[in-house]
Amino acid sequence: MKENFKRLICVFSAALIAAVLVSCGSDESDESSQSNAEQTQTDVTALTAEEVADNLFNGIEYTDELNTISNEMIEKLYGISEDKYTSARVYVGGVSTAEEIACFDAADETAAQEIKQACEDRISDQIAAVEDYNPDELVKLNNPVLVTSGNSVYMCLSNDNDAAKDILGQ
Amino acid sequence: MQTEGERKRDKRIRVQEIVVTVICLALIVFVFTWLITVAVSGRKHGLAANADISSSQSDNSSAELEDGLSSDINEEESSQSEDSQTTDESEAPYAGAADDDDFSDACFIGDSRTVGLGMNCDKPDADFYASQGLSINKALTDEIVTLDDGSTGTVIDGVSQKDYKRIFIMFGINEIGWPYPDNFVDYYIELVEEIEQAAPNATIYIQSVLPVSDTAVETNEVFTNENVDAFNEYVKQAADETDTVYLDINQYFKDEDGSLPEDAATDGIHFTRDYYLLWIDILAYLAPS
Repeated sequence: MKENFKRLICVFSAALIAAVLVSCGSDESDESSQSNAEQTQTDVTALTAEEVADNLFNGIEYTDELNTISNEMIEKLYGISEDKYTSARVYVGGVSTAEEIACFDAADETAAQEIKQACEDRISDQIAAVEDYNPDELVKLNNPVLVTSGNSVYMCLSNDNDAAKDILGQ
Repeated sequence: MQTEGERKRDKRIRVQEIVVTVICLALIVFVFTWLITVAVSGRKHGLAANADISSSQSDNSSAELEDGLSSDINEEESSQSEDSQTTDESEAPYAGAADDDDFSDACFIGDSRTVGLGMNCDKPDADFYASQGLSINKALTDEIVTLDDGSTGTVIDGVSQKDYKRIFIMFGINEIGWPYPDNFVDYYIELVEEIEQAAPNATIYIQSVLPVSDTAVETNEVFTNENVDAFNEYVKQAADETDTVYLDINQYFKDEDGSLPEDAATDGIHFTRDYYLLWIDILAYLAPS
């Protein structure tokens, strides 16, 4: 009886330790992605470009304060006129970093190619702007997240490319 | 009948069993306590993390806007009258001044701060001939402007494209560390003279260098408001010697300590949206079309 009791205690302890270890492991693996992309793990093709941009904004921590700009300002900064897209949202900062979000649902395939090219040009312009003045920002610009999905184009310049790719389903 | 050796062995085994039992029981107590602690504090941590995200990224919140502007308005009021009372932003004479001014007759020349103004002040009809890191000695030579025909050119090439009525210039933050500030004045005068030739119908406004917050010193030790204020004397000298209009906008952005408020710039130098909007309001108020 006494031996059985001791054996029971040992087995129970082992089971508890195993359970704790398993739960710790699953917590750690969840934490990295949960904080950034939990609420945004959605098929981006079901979302508008505005919604995707908002997910990139809310799902990633930025150094600079980002704000949206008007469609007129999108045309001024990117050279993309309103007739090229059905939905668009661009977030810009105050120039202290190169952080930026630009998402577009292009009007058609040709427009999507033009928008992608405009995003690439924007990145090139930013590289030229910061390479002498703020070279630390080249890390973001030389490794940008620029994704085309159907006729949608998504660009995200941040310190967390993994989170951006998660949000974009990459 | 047990021998002495067997008794000792049995005793040792009993001691070992007791030790193992105590360890197991202690482990069980520890695990239960740990699980309860994690369950409680983990939930609290999750809530705190969510709160941090929402607060740090609610940059468009009306609370921040009101806080930022009210402090500036208080500064403006106190500079105008010692008897000023606390007021809201609607009473500031420049509040909303840019709402009815599209600045389509204007261009802006300067460094990264002017770049930030162009991106954030929502004036798509205005032209911004500015570049990050542009300094006064390079303003006439660096081809930083994308011209209407798609080619690149200098600031003067940009100014020559249109019959501007207002031209706003700001340089100085990149030149504060210069050992010979007189050179800054000479370069400034040369730039203004070139602009006057390219845009004979324009009124040229030279803006004072904007203040910095305490964070800016972390970037470079020269970025102090004492240095900014001292350097603005050279900016004013350039305006005086060229008979252009000197806009002392620096004072509008200082808090009660004489610094740029911490929330006005994430790096202490480059503004956040609310303060860029304040800047354009002040320009519309001081230099209306």
